[in-house]
Amino acid sequence: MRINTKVRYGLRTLIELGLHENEAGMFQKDIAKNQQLSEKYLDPIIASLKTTGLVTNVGGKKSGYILGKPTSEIAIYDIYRTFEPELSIIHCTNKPVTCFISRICVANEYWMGLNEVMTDYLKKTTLEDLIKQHKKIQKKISKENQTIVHCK
Amino acid sequence: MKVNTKIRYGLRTVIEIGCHDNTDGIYQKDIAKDQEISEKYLDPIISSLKASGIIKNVGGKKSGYVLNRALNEISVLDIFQSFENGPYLVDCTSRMNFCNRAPKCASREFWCGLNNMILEYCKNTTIESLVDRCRDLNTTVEDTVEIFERIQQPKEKKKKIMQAS
Repeated sequence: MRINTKVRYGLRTLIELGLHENEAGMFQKDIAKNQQLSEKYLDPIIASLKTTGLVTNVGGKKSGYILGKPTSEIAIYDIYRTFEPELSIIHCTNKPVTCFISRICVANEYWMGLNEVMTDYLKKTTLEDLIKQHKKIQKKISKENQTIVHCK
Repeated sequence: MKVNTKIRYGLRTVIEIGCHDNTDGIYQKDIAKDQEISEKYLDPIISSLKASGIIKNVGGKKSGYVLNRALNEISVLDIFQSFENGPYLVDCTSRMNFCNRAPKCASREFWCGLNNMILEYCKNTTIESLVDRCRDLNTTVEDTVEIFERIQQPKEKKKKIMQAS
């Protein structure tokens, strides 16, 4: 059970854009550099994010990228759905007939429960939450670094 | 993102064995029949479950299978880990030094949160609760149908309840 790399990189791309919200937008090469991602691998990721409206060009072609929506309106599940179908950790969620046997249903019910817990987690967390968290971590790290300097 | 088929079939196998509490155990061919799983595909599944000490032969070779521990001492996580390490949704959730960005990465934290959620969910469920559930479900066909519908349409049902209240 793994998270698709495109979903992971898509999330990091959006965090990067969310951190640099200015009018000029951000270029793909800068996103790649800051997030240590391959610039070429970002091509299909940004194209998909544009299709679902999470990212847009600030001007015409070759202009920078900005978020297509406010960070508070982008759930992580929206990013997941840009690259993947509805979260379904077992095949038989869509084929009830194969599971229409009482005992098998117990296992089905169990995995469906997990599926729901995971979907909720992805739906209730927004990009805004993660950007806040990112800033918190940065603050903590810079504070720790300062302490080290003082100690010397 | 799918749960490994071996884990799913492993869980069903253990539930099946747990439901048969006779002292002779249950044969692989009967597990396969009751659970509608290919008998051959059960070979590696049963050997993994034996290797991790969840099931055992009741007697010598060619005897039936029984659980090796009490029902409430086997969690779904034990079964999960009989087939793969984890759960690991991303490489960096298990190893901090996998990537130099790890200590300052908000997305890593987010995936770790999801990973822990899966881990807790699997750890907190025992086979006992699933076997109990299985017995409940087997009481009447009507019950089964009702629960089946509830699983399939949780949202519609919730809406109806909300409207009714």
